[in-house]
Amino acid sequence: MKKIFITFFFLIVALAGLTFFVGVSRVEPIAELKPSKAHLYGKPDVSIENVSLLVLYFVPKDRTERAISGWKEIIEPHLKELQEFHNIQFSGKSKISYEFYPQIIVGEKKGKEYEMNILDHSNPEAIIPVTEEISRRVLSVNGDLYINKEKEASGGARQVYLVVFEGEGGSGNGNASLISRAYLTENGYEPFGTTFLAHEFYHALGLPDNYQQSFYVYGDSQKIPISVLTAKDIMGRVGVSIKNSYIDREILKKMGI
Amino acid sequence: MAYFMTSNKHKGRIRNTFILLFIVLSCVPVIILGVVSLSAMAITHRQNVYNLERQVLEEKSKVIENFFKNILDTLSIRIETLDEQTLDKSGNLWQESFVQSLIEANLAIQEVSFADLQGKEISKRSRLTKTPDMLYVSELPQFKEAILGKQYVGTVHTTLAGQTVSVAVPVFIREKVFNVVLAEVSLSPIIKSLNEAALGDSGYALLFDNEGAFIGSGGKAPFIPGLNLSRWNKLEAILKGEAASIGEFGDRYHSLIGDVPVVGSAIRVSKIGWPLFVEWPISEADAVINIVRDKVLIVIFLSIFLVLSLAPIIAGRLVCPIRLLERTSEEIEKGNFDQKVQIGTNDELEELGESFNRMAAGLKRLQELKNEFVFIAAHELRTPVTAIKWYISSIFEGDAGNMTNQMKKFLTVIKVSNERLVNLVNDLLYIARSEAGRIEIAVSRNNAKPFIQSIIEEVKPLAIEKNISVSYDPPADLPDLMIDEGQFKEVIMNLISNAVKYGKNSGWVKISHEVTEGKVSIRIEDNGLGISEDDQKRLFEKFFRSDKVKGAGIQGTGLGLFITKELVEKMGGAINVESAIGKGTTFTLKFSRAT
Repeated sequence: MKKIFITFFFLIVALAGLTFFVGVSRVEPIAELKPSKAHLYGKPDVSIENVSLLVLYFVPKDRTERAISGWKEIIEPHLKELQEFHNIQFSGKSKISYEFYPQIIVGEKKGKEYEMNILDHSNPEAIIPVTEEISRRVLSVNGDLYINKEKEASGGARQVYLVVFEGEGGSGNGNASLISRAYLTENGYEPFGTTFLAHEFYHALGLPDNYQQSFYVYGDSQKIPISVLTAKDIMGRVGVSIKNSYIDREILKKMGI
Repeated sequence: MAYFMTSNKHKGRIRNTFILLFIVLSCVPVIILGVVSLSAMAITHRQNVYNLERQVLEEKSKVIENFFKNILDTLSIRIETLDEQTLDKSGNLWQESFVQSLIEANLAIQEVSFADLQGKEISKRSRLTKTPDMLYVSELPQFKEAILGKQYVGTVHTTLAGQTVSVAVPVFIREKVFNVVLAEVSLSPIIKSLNEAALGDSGYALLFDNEGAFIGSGGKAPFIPGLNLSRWNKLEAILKGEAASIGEFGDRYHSLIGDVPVVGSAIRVSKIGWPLFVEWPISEADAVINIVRDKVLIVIFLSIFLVLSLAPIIAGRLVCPIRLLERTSEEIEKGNFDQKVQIGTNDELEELGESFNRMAAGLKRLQELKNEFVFIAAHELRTPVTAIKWYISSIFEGDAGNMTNQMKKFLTVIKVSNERLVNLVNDLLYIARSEAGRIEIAVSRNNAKPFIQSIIEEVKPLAIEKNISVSYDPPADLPDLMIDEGQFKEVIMNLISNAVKYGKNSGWVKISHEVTEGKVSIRIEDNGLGISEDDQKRLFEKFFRSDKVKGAGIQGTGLGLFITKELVEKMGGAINVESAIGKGTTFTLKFSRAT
């Protein structure tokens, strides 16, 4: 009987082997992909997985009559396009949320005083007069328009300020960017308004311009200053709709994408 | 006892051996055949799936190659007839003409421009914007590559409108680069082609660029376009050149898309080097082979189930003649030589059965000769020993004159020995008659009481000699029994005389009755030596005497209880014994009541 039991045991083992192993696919387990995290350009320690955008409408004190009343409704479609663009460029690894500062901020100075700097797009400090005033009046506890956005942005979100300026110019630096309201509302800038906005927004995430200043030499040796593209992406070329624009692969690599 | 145990062990062993052999010889080939067929099926199927996947990969790869070949061929301009100076003087007129033709030539070209040797775009057409701005592109990698006379296909750009790639080709005048044609090309025709003619209903293709960014797939996009998956080990191996392709027989792995197990293969699209994967969910790729496999397994399991079911039956049939021989030999052992073995297997076993029957017939003849010899011997001995008995009795009665004490002593020994001889001769004669069928039993209505009382009287001298009390207290209304008077007395004599003979000195023997419906029992009970359980089993065998009795020096032939049992059974009664060593023995006889 012992031999029969042993034979049965081996028979069961053989049948189990036949059923579960012979001719059965060996399937490799799913590959574990080390997740990459989006971060500020060149700063791997500063995450931008979540970007919280506070949009403020800044009107110099001498241009309050020009200020538009439905500014939020006009700007919001651009912000939604920016969200879509950002999502696809960062492969869903960075998300933008936005909110509006509830009221128009009337500057303490006249428009020309701010524009002296802002019009110099290549100057990274051009935006400082505006951001300094916003910081002092809106973000400081003692400011007359104080709102506690630093606290609200806690929880890992990168706080970025987008200033829609009632005047000329555009710039971005630090964690703030500034764009002329005219780029977003006037027909002459269509369909590039959102591209301009995104270009300045990405400066606030540390992205540099993808063009450099140079000269073009004509046949008669006449030299004219020009901007030479180093990449045709959104940081180099803004004369296309945001739907057809992109962020250069080399830049994305430096942001963990 | 040891013999029986060994015999039983053999009984189990030979049947089990047959079962074992049958299972092993039947199941092992089935299992080996199963392993070979399932393995062969699996290998063939995998090779077929791999071939299918390679075919799809080759087709898709060809489509992608042709796409870029068409684009580059369209953009490639070689001017042979005009010289450089004439072209310079023509302004940008010919470029304007060409640029319009180029954008119209292929819908995938989203934007195309001519740039001079300093990198200034001099002529441009775009589907992206109505008024394209002229850019300075001398620092763009595509311009730098094309100015050196090489064609350029850049990395893939992901936009909200789809994916594009930058392409640049040099414009030659004779062998010299004169201008550069720059273009942005939509990849939507390629992505569209991935949807066509994939594998089965659920197979799909995945295309990546040469940095591992996802371009597109057949069917619904599983990833956000542009997602870099270069850290996926399969893709990484191809991008690093560690594998020109994957899946010699089709790799099987869990896909990144939905963690579904798939059969996957991949190649790099020649010239542009983009990795192209095809994945086919195993659930569909193996659907047919799994059905076939299940059927093969069912056949194997059923075969083995059949073998396991039939093995005991067939082993039983093989062992059956052996069992029959065994049973018949047991009957022959009991003296029943008329038993025949009937084996109809038409083989050596049947011959063995016939041989066995011949052996039984031979034994029967020997038995008959022996019986005849015993009968004749016993019969011939009876006359002289009876005469001796009569003369010794006459001598003791003084018919031959006075005896000295010495003579009396010697003659007493002769008398006792002669008595034993007489008993032995009588028993042998009875057995010989019985086996020859010459014992006549005439059962009739009789009252047992006087028979028993007369036997007690006969035994009394021996009982007194051993100081054993023999008591008999029959009920007044003891029913008549159906017995043969002579044989009944013989039975009672045997049992009571045994009880006295083997009883302890100063012991007792009790005879009693128990009346039940239809039967009357006669119990002969003593407080003698008792009989062990082993001895009780052989108590009624011919010539059996227990070692204990032999050791005690009590004389006997060992035939008394054998004859008793035979007589009881011939009268239609039954006998059994209950005993325990040191506690005595009770024989119970049961006879039918006379009606």
